[in-house]
Amino acid sequence: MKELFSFVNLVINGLMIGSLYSVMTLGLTLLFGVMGVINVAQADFIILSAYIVYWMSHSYGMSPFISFIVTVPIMFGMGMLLEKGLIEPLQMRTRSHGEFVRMTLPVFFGVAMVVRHSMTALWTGDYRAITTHLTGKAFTSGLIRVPILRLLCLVGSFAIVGLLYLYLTKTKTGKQIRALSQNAVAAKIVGINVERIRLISFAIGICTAGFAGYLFSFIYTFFPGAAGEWVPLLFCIMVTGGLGCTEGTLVIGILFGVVDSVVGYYVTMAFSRVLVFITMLLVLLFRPRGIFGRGL
Amino acid sequence: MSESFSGKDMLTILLIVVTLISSAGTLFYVTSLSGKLMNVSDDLEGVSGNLQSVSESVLTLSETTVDIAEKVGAPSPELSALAERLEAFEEAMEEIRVEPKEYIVFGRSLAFTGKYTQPALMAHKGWELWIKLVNENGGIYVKEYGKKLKVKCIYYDDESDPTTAAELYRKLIEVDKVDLLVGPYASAVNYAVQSIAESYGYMLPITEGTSTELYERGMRYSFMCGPGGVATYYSYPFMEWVGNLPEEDRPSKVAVLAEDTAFPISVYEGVIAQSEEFGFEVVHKELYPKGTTDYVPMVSAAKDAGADLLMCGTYFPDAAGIVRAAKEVDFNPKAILCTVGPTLPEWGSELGADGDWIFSSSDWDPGAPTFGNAEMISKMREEYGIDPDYHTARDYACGQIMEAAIMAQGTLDNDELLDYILQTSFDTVIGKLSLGDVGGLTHIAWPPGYVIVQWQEGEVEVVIPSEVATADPAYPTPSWDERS
Amino acid sequence: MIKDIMFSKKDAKLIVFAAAAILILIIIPLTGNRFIMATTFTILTYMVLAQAYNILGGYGGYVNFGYSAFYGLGGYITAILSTQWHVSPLLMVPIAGLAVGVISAILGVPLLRLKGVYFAIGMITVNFIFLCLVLLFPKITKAGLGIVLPPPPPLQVFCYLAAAVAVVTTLAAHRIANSSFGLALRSIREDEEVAEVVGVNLTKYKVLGFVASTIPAAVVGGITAAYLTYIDPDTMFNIGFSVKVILMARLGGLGTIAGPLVGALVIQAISYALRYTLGGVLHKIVWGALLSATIILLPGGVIKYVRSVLVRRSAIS
Repeated sequence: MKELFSFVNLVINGLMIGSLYSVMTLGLTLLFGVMGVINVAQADFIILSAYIVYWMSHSYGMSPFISFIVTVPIMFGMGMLLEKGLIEPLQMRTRSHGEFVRMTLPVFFGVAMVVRHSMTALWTGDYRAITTHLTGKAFTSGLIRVPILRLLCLVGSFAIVGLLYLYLTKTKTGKQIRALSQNAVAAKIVGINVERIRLISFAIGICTAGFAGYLFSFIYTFFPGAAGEWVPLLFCIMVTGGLGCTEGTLVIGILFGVVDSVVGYYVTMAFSRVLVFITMLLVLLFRPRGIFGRGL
Repeated sequence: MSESFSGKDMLTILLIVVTLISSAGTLFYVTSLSGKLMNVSDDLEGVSGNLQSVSESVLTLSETTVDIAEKVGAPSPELSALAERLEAFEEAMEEIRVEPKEYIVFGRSLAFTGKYTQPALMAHKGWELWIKLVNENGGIYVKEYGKKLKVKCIYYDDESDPTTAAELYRKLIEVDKVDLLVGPYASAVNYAVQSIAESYGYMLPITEGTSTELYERGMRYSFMCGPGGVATYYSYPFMEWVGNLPEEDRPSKVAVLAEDTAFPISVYEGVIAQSEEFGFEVVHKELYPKGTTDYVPMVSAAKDAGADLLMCGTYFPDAAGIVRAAKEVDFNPKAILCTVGPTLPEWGSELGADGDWIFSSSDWDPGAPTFGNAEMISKMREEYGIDPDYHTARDYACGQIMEAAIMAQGTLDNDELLDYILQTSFDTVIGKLSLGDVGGLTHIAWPPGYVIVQWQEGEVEVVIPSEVATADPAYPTPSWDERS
Repeated sequence: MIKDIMFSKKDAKLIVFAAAAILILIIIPLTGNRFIMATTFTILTYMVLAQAYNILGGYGGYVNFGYSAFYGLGGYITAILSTQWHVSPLLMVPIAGLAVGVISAILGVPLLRLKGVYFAIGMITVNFIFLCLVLLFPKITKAGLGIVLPPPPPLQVFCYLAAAVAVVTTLAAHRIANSSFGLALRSIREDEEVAEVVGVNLTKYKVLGFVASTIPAAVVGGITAAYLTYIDPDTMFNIGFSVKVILMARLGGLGTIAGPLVGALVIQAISYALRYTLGGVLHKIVWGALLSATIILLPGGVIKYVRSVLVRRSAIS
């Protein structure tokens, strides 16, 4: 009986970890799906946002809980700068869309390096963490434990996904973004201002990192190089779910969270990672568009 | 349809390739040449300085001789002898080989970026502190050069990467031509550097590397430069203490978690061996990969296996992750010990009350009346505004050892210094260091000396052994519920 | 007058390259300066990697972001065999090369069915899977601890060895480029469907190209392992390493022979210059910025740029 409760706790924990994984990967998926950009620097922007939360709290006394109102706009702005400075020139100089997509990887690898080491230069390599009165506390009911902050992540993740969904389906700009991602030429013909929409989509992709970083800062300790530990996992989730497919990211993110939790408990974390990567490889080989992906 | 190149194309390409190769070659020569030029100009300055003083002495001498000759009137046998001597002296002066050395040059690479930055920087500060203090006193007297030489150190960033460090140490030896080396941070990085030092015949004092792997290789030139001992001993004083507790207080089931890299693996192996020695059952053990982010699953597993003692081979992020995970799953063993993490000052500042009651190992006891300890602590506070930790202390101790050895042997020769260090026992801020070959390991600190510390209400206290303790160990540690 | 220098073009180019290379490479190890030799060795290894990568990446158009996987595999096989059997690692390098050839032939068949970006990212997964495999079998690979190799022969040996491998790889690349194999690869790059229609056996050529690019990587991995005397999973399976090699090939000029060589030299020279003049952190920031800027500004690479300039000049004259 205790075993069962143990298992249930693990699954619940996995759901919560997974929801954070999903939100962290969301920006990556959006950017690829809408613009064909492989943003390997996404994790670094997440860490950067976590640092912003940290400094807002330590230097200005802002409660970490509301600091997303700072991180999201900053990341949005950063996204716009990057789009103008990197994406547009790259678009102009690559011969085909395929080439553009492939080249975004090294370009953003460079961006990741710059961001990562700038953080080291500015804020030293010291380890940081956000500790609040809620850290580690949990709701308990019998043998079921639900850590409060992780629940916050779950709620936050669903909120942001819901918000994005509404934005993309109900607002005019959102629909234009979707139109662009489906067919760039047709979108132009229909009169959509492609440059403006691209700018906005890219910025949105980066500002999800702002929100993810905010959630992230409550759970994990971080240092400038922390992103390196996250990139393989995020990639895995995106590819397995389907490159550019948001539903896929959500489902697979949560699934991998549960796998990490359950397999990490019954076997080891190392094994859980291998499982995750092999799943990705199998998906790539036998269903390259991803489990939920449409059209190759 | 092969690619058609005209002769012109070929020549142009050849030209470009040759130009590029030569410019690259020039680039390297320039970087090494600039180093050489600096040395040469330093040398020249020294030479001219020395020549000046020598010629001044000769001038005074010849003036005196002339005075004497005038006073005496006629050359006496003594004066002729003196005159001959002077001539010989002048000839000898022509051949004088002047040693224009001003500095003892150390070389090392440290993790200024990458995963190991934080502890590496603490070590760096300790080393720099020693250099500062030594130079304030005018330097170290080296008999071979007949004067006091100041100390300086060339640093490179090895990015916490072993292979980068290996290349950098090669450069330090070959291009920068340092006199002496100091080891980098982390066992894994020292690993790669050892063979470089060995093949060039340079001593490698390893201040930040305690994994047994480093000392199983039989490297003549590597030695442990910290009296703590190998990593397997980190947990020993603690395990010994809990092992000797009365039956009702003793834990019986141990869980061991460690990162899958050199140093934590040694700690892990040590805990397992000690569990057997003191009669504990290891109910859960796990080595987690370096990039692990979530510790809840493994901590849950430890909890559900019934462990009442949690021992961890960690650095900082994983130690913090494990402790937080323990709070989240309400895991309340009688004690938790984590290496490295809880010895850094940010353990308290970043984790707050959650960091309390955690044990850790340190080979440095801040309160101990060891040689230079108080001075180091006050100087550290003055220069950097923070207290030293054991990394700082180790590197400072290394400086003390170097100073003692150089003064005793009167030379900067690596072999002579090494022989002296291997046979001598030194007084340092971390206590007495003496090296020995034990149990298949060479040149380790023996006997080992670790103290166990514990965070108590935001302060680090030394708790074991009781002779040097500043507070009693709080054991069993309060449960998470009790703390709030 | 210069136009009159028309040897058989292929032979002449070859002779000229070989002569220049051999001349320079004989002199350098004789200087005895270990730092120069170490640098030359490193540059030569990158030349081999860039050249081999170019076979599939440049001529074939299949960008392999997980290239370090096979480099690492070669390194690990060499290290494991040499420590288990107590033999010199350099003797094990050919075995490692062959083994990796076989492995990549087998893996290549399913992997090369992926197209474009899926292949690129898929290869990153392969890299991580190899890394995970190393971590999972500590008894053989010593996992995170890393493997220590026996003391190496003198540095000169490595220089000459690397030079030899570089020459062989360049010759091979040249032969491939000017053969029907190279033609097939280029047609695959241009338009795979059309190539298939025209009768090019896609699988055969893609896999061959893949194997041809991974064997030199494995050989270099093995030699580098022997040189470093220490390897660990992070160094051997490093994505940043793949990106560097791709940058070298791209900068130099994909689909050319001289390109990768030039690219390797320039990029590594810049890397060294940055590392030794700026501090650790600053050098990385500049490097990252340079990486992005180069990809954006020089899509065709140096060689193509030079060629286009020459074409324009000769057109004008």
